[in-house]
Amino acid sequence: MLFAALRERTEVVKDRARMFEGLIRDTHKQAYGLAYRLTGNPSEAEDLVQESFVRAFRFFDKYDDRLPFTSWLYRIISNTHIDLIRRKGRLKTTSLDNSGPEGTTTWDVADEESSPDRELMNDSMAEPVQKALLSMNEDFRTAVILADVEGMAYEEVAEIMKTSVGTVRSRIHRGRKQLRDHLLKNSPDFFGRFANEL
Amino acid sequence: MNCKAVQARLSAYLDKELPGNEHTAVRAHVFDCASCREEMDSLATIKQMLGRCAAPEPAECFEERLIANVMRQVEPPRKQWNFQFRPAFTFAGIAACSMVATLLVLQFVLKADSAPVTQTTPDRSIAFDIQRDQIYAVGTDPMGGIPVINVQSDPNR
Repeated sequence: MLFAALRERTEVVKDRARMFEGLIRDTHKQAYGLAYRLTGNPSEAEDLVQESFVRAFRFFDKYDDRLPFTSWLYRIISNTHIDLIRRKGRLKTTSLDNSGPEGTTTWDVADEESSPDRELMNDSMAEPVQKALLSMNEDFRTAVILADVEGMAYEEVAEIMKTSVGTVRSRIHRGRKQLRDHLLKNSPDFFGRFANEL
Repeated sequence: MNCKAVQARLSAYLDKELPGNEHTAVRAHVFDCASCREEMDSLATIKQMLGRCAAPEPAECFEERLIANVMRQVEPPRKQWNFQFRPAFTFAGIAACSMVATLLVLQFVLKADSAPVTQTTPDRSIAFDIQRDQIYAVGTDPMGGIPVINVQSDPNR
């Protein structure tokens, strides 16, 4: 009887692991996409995805399966991202609001000339946009990415970021304005070309 | 609704996240106000730009590496039974078993050869209720002068 119970429990654990492996296979690309946009480089994106899936597995009993798994996963990714940044002591990158008196701003972005991931960055996302995203503070960036890149409604973003819809609305609006101002200042040709195409 | 109020709502307007009456008011204002329309167009450009960015693809080997790493972290470590045949252990095992067996045999033999079980009772009252046993001697305890009955189980019974 004891052996039967043990065997049954082992089977349950195995089934859970198998099911979770399937979820990883189905959603890891989306998770990586979000993680890459949040972190701005492949190595940190991979670490973020891995840590997020580990957390998702450990708290899987808290997942409400009436909701899409990706929404729950996105929430974990954005929270994990904030945690990892705090752990590294790198809470914020330079905000566009903090420009110097002569308009001099040091952008905290990777040196793409020396980066081995330059090809990937060019292929996956327009470089000026990625630079502009990395210049924003974490909350604005996450809200804008979830709404504009992932196409989520404000309520969903609010749920993921554990904040009110009003705050999300404000973050998205201010985030877009920051992106626009950055692009107009640093890549006006790119912005103008894109605007004309629309 | 003035320009300031409208401009604060332009992103939500573009995302169709405004209540019906506000949505209508912003639309009416933007229709007439060139500067607010320009502001709205520039925000719409940003929204479109982000929406058109292709999703970055992970490296090809990432999927398998990810699954392996995640599963290693979430599954408890399995016990590894690493039994190896070693002559020294075998010899020690055989020696221990032999000793135990010898002790058991010795105990059995000594028990069989030992003297008949005698029972000494310190009670002053004589136990007359002993049945099926033969009283073969009665003496006095030299230390306390207590009567002693020596009984022996009848081997013929």
